Amino acid sequence: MDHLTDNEELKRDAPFLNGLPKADPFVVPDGFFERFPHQVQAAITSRQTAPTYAWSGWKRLAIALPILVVVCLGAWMFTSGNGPDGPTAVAITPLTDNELDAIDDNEIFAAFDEADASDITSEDLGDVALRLNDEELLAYLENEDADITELITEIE
Amino acid sequence: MSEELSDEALLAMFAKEESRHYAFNLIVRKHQRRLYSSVRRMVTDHDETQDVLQNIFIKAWQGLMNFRGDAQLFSWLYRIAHNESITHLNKMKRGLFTSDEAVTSRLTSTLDSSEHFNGDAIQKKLQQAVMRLPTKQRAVFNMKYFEEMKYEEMSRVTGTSVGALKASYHIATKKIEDWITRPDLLAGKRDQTKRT
Repeated sequence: MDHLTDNEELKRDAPFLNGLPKADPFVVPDGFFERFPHQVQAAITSRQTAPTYAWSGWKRLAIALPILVVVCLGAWMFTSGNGPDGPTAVAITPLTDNELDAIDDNEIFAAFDEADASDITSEDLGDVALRLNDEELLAYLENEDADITELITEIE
Repeated sequence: MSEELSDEALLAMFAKEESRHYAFNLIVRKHQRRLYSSVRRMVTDHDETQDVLQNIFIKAWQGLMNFRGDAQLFSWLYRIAHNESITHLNKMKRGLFTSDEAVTSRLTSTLDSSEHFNGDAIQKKLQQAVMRLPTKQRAVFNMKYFEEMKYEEMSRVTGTSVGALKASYHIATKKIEDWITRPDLLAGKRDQTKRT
């Protein structure tokens, strides 16, 4: 088997191409190769002095971590029902006797009047009434200055 | 430059921080012309060649500290140049154009309009034929035909086997021969010969 050199192969396969002069038809602007090394140096220097926008891993983590904590906290509050829309815990402190005396009964009655009376059924009140004995009922009626005779007449 | 230093001397100088920039400047001066020619044959336009060449040397600056010297410095630089040229042409294809034909059209039109091309009609036809080749085949053809590189060196640059490179070059020469021996061109060549 023949072992042709590269040139011999080219002469055989592409005789016209082989006969062409290998000229470089591309013209380089005057002074380009004198200026270009300085241009490269300037590009390298500017890259070395320019601020690095590529953040390192710990900087990214420092920014991402607080955001992650806030998001997790929000998600936890939302799912556990303790968020802003959920029921809030109220601390109840017992009132002193003086504080209780200072409360006007009319204010309490007015507050009850504002409540929706339809929510209270007769069954709810019936239990309360049944738990009172005769003495307690009499004490209540006396306190309210109610006319007992009139009440008996109404019941009958 | 008669006092041109060897690559080994330049690399030794580059290794010292105080002379690094100076050494690199000398490296650029030593290898820029050959690399420019290689890139210019691929991308055609001078301004684009300048951009690609600058990227090549910036990458070389960044990688030269890790250059182990088990390869020739020029082969290493040429490998970067080869990759950057291919990347540039792929970007061109992905960007403004959609196909190899469109890229070829763009390159040949650049050739026609370029003020920095002084070849005769046959040289222009040859370049047009080269530009019609697929990108990697064009690179192989340029390395072998214009730069007369050995297949082994081309293999190191491209990461392709010698056998595949030989086949690629063989096909490329056939295609170009077919293109440049078309009757219209030969007629033009005869006319030109008569005038001279």
